[in-house]
Amino acid sequence: MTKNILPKSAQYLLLITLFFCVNSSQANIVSLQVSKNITSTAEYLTGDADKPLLIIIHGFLQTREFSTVKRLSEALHENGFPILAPTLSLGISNRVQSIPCESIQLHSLNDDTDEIDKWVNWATRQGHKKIILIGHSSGSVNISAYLARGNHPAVIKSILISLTFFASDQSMAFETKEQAEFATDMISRGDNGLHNFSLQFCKDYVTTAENFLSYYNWSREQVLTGITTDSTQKHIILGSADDRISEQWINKLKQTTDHVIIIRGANHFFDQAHEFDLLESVENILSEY
Amino acid sequence: MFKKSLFPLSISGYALVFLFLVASFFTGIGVYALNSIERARSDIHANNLIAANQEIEHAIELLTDSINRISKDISNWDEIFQQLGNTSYYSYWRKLRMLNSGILPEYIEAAEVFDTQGNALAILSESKFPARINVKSLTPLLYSRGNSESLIYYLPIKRDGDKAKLEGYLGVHLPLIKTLIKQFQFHYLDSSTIKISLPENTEIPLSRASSFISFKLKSSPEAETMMQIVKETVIQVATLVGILCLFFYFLMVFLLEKPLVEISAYIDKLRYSNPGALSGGINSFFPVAELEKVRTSLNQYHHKLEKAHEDLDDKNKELWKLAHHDSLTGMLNRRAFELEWSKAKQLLSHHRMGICLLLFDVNHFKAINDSYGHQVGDEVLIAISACIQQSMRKAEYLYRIGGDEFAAIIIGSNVEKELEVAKRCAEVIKNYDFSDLGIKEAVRISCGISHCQADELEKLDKLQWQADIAVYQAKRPGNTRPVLFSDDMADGTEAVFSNWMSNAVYDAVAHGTGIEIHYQPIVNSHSRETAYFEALLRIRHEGELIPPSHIFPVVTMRHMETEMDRAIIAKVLEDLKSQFIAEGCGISINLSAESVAHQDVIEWLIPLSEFTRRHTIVIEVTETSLITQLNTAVGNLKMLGELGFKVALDDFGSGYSSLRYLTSMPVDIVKFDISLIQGMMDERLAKMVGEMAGMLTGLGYNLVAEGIETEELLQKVMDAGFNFSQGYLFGAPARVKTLEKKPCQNLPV
Repeated sequence: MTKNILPKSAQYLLLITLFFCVNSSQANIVSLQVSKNITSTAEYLTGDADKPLLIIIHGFLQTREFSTVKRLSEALHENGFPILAPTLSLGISNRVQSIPCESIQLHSLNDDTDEIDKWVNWATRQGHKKIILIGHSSGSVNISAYLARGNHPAVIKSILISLTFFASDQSMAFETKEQAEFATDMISRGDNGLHNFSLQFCKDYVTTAENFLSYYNWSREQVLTGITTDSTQKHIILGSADDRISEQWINKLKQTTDHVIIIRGANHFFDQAHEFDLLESVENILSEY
Repeated sequence: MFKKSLFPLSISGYALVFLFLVASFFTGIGVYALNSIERARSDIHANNLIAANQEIEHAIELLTDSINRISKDISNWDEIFQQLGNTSYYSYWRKLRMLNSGILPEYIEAAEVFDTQGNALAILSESKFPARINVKSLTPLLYSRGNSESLIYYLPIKRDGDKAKLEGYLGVHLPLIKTLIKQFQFHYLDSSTIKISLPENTEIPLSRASSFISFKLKSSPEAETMMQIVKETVIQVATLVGILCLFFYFLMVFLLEKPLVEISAYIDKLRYSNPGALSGGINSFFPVAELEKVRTSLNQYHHKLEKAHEDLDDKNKELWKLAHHDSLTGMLNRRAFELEWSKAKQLLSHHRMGICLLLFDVNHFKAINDSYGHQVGDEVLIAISACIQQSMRKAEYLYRIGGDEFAAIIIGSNVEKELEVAKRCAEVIKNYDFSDLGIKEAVRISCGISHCQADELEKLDKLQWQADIAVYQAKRPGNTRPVLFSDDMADGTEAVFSNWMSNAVYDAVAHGTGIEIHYQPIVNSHSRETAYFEALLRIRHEGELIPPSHIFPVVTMRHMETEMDRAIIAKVLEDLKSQFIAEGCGISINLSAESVAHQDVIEWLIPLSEFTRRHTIVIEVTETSLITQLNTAVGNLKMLGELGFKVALDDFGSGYSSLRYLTSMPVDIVKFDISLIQGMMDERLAKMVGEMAGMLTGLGYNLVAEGIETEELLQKVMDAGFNFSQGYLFGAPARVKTLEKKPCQNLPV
């Protein structure tokens, strides 16, 4: 637990100052061909050469512009860290908007991890020998899934914020076992068509059975397995008031690793003053660099 | 010309005319205002039509801009790029997401995504778009299918961050008219009436769409509002004017017509009512000051008029009283008698009743007058009239119809009663004590009564004449009782009282008609030469000559002595002027006692005085006239003497002649009465006359002997000393020009 060292008003002032400073700096958007017809983009912010590159992955159906990750990347860039904040294509070339649940979801968890891999490789090619992955929400799930795949030598650490999982029994998640079984049946029937499933906070989630199951199957156990399988150091930051995770999950994570930070009172998105708590926690994790 | 029946109009008529004019004026104003508004509305309609066309074109431009803005909206729409990148599920996305995502405007009915080559991402049977479009010619087109028209518009799809790169095309399909109606508010046109008249299966560029669009204009709000305001204003003003006019009409009726009608009716009443019949005037109060002034003035005027009427009535009554009453006795006078007589005749013509006429005459009144003077005579008349009146019954009036004559008309009575009345009157007068007036002799009245039975009314006109005869009879010596007329009385007195003769004498004296002056010579007794002529009155009526014996009773009865004298003077003057009387011939004219004592007698005779140089003009007076008002008579005769007239005393010795009178009078000639002359055949009387003649001759008087008809009598008078004689022996009175043939000798005076 990290103690706030600045008063709230000073923290707001700092946030506003940072916002203008970031806006005043020139954003560098880089594109990366992630599949045959899909190009993904990322904001690439150079930092101190001796500091590891921070690749920040946004949450489910969001973009790098989502407030939690955007503020984090900007703050960390201010601390001298080079930042690469991609917007996962989710099947849409050069995607710039978050995807409504009702849209046709032409992406899978594998596609997401492939893209992370491609950005890691791209960063490596850019000369970043040390890469730290930071994810928020399902972005953390994506990172855990990516890390579980192995073969990522440049990645030296990962910070998983509001780490959650699919096939949850939490009320905020709509996916059900029956849907999973239906999807499995569709696959067995060779039905590659679209179907209206439910996933996470999307009650209507139109996608193929295979894509649905790619997420659905990355369940609590799969996440825990992924965390434990990979040897990379992982830091987990959770909000005590996050209604998408349960106490049980927190305890499970604590049992899995010693690097679990609980920010008291913070919700899933670390809104308001908890933003600084989150930043402080991340900065503490990165303090060695 | 206006019919008389229309004019003059009444106040209410003028009020109605005024109302009609006001109504016409405001109707004209209203019609003019409505026409003006109608013209303005036409102008506004024309302007609105232009504005509406511009509005339609502008709406299409705005719609085009709106559609064009879709390009920008979709430049960041990831899903469309998702479909361009992966068309596997395009049909699903197109069906469920493209129009429901909220990115495309609601008015888009259908949309289709094409790749950069113009190929639809999927070929769908239900698509309203072609499977392939010509990307080089993507003009917005309007086409008609069936009853609907649609606009197809193609938009380029470009990433916002990379505008240069064309990713594909978005075709949108929308119903133009519905969209225009739904998306835009039209000010000038009625959006529900917008239609497009495009031939079936026709395509036209959007730029030409406006020329195929038809619509109806909204009813111009300004014009409608203005029209409505004007209409309402006209109606309100008309209502207000109508109310005001009605108010004004009733106000005029109340303020003007009603008072004027009342005044007019009152004036009509004044005009057609007898004076005094209206009382109180107009009592209503008039609210208009001027009319109220008229009312009060009229009332005051009416009151004054009434007062004037009352005064006039009083004056009339007084005048009537004066005109119909005798100022001396207070009895009704002759005028009243004549009036009453006419009324009586008129009354009896309708009602069969008997009538009595009573005539009263004071006996010897002239002598009373002469003896005791006029004042006593007047007192006698007053006393007698009072006595008679008190002896009569109520509603029987006494009339003074002459100097000493009174009359009473009694209707419905009988003779016996009236005889009793007459006797009672005579008795009362007999018993009246006239000694208080200094009269020693008894005063009596004579009463004549004429009567007419109810079945004898044809005799009504003769009743006065009969009463005259009865009075005449009653005056006979020795009679003291009232005399009732009987037919036998008429025989002896008809000559005197004949109606025609009486009327002829009256007309002659009053108007000078029928008068002839006859001249009788007075001659020198010795030479028998004419000394002068005596002018004697004759009246010729319808060729018949009325003798003096018939003239003078009438004149005396009617007291016309002065009128008769003046008629004679006038006729003699004519004869003198016409030289009917030869120059040098003397003339003698008889004057009555009334004329001699009359204050104007000198004036009457002055015209004759001009002839006194060429003619000896003798004024003959009777001794009676010398007795009556002696002093006046003496004064008048002296003045006549100064004017050159001679004076002769006529009928000397016939009455109260007194030598004292003779000596005191300016007399030149003494004419002995015929009774004395003709009595000279008696020796004793002849001796007395001779003595008197001798005495008078000795005193210097010329003596004239009248009534000489024989030579014997002539000799006697000559012996007695009469130097002049008159009588038929020398010539009867005649109207012949003997006066010219026989030049007169100078009167030996």
